Amino acid sequence: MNLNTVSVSSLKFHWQSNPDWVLNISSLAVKQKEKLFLQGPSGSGKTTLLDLLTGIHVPVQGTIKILGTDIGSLKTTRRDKFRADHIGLIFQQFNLLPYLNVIDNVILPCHFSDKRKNKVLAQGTLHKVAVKILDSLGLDDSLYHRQATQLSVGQQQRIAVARALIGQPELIIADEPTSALDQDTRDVFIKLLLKSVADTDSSIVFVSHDKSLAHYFDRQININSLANEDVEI
Amino acid sequence: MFFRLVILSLWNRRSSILLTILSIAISVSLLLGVDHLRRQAKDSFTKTVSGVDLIVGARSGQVNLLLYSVFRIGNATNNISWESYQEIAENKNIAWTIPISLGDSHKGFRVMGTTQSYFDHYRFGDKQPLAFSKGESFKGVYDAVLGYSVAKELGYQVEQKIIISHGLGKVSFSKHDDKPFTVVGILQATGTPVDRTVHVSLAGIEAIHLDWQQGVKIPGLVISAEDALKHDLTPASITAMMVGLKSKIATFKLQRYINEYRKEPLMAVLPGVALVELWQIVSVIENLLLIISAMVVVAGLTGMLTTLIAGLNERRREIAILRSLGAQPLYVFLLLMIEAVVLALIGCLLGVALIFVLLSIIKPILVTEYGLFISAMPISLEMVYVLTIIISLAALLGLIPSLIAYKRSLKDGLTVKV
Repeated sequence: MNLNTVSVSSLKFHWQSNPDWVLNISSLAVKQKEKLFLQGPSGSGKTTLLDLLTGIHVPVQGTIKILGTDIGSLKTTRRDKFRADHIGLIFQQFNLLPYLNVIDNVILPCHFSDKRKNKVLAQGTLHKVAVKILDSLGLDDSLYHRQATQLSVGQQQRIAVARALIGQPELIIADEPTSALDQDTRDVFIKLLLKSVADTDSSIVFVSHDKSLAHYFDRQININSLANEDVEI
Repeated sequence: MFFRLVILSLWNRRSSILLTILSIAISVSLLLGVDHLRRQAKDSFTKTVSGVDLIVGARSGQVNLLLYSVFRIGNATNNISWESYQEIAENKNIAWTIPISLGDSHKGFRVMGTTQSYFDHYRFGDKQPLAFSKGESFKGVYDAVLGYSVAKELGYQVEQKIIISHGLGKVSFSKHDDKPFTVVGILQATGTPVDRTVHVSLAGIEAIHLDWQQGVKIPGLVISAEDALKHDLTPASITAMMVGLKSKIATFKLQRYINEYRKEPLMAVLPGVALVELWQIVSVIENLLLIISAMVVVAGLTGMLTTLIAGLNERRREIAILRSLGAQPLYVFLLLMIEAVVLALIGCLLGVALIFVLLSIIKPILVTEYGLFISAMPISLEMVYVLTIIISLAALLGLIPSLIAYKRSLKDGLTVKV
């Protein structure tokens, strides 16, 4: 029985065009419902790690298990499906499709994952559940039918959270989601995010260079401390 | 949801997309328009004369005979004697004949001498008879019936007196001004050379030439219009004759009889065959126009390709978001493919609509101004195939941006910074 949501071991990665290792992680584990703060300066391989965790790229050496599944061994299409079913992503900014309204942006993951769609349908209609999540994130219903581009960055980021959480994926990955926010909005945002993640029993990997946010999380890790001695960064 | 994404994404880029669709629509409507006019021209051309089984004239080429007898272009090399005409006309296979006599003109319009038989038996288009819009057929020697365009361009009405010029020049110095004709009838538009013809009786042609010889007035000989009526106005010869048979089966038999006629060298041609032969001379230009229009369509589609490829960079973010949500590269590929097909489809439909609108606007103008009747149905079965090919070609071109996006979506991470 593997209780870990994420379990990385002996991971090594380099780009096809360049044989130099860009990432080297001997071991990393994220438990169920754990809130992990992954800190690292820019250029430390954070982005590459996220691409590996989400199955966009596969490890050159070692394994990444998400919910017990070795995603490196899955075929490309299965990896995409796996990501749709089990992982919710939040980026720095520009998370939303500009031509969809707020509600459609939130329910978009259900279009790619039947698993998440069915979880939503067990609680009500797609629209109702989307409204419920948006409401819990403090978004006013006057915004629901606006285009994403008409909203403030703070509002957009909260909608991105709603989208990541819909259908209760087991793992939320947030890549510097607060970097475009000001101090006040940032603290409110993080609290809302972590509360929502706790409500859905998901784990979260929160990647940021900003150490001042670390105290909100169960555990913090510096990405450089994961590396073996021979890693070149 | 897939199609909503396609449509909403296109709508989001509507300014460049609408221009692309417009350029496809215009090129498609140009192609359809050229093809339609080409078919209509061919159709109307090959139906310039119908219901006539044989055209008989002095021996030359069949296209030449057709040109002067039907299209009033060029001149006859020789005439048919009145005796031969009568002998042939009495052949038992022949139902009717139309003798025609050419050589004079009125202000650039050809004057044709003929008989009542012409108004009774001549057919054009789908066997349509000639009809009078005003007045009636000629009765007297100095009566004239005008084609539609003659009356329209010269502003003539019934009762108008006209002077016939000798020869064919627009500005002729030798005029038959001693024997003016009176317009007694004006024909309805036919869209054929009939519209540009002044019709008089054979006797009228004979009368104005009584005091002429070899194309010049005989010096000292003056025969007034009234005196001329006292002469025998049976012509000595005619230019050509049109023949209607009792039974089509006799066509080739009679053609051979005329071609082998002993007393003078004559030839008989089947107008349908001669018209097709004549059309083939024109068809080079027709095909050239079609090729040019096809190139314009290709240019329109290339414009679409440019827009789609140029749009790819702005859409990296959009594609990365879809990928992060679990969209497979194939999904991204299809999204762009469908986009190209949708653009071509809308462009084609709009092009079809455009040509319908254009035709309904120009149709009445062509009828009233040029006496040309064109069908309002520009879509032929072949064009349905062509539209299918255009859309397939768009799909083929759509492969390029789709493959670029596909490869990129495999390579790009989730965090594209734009």
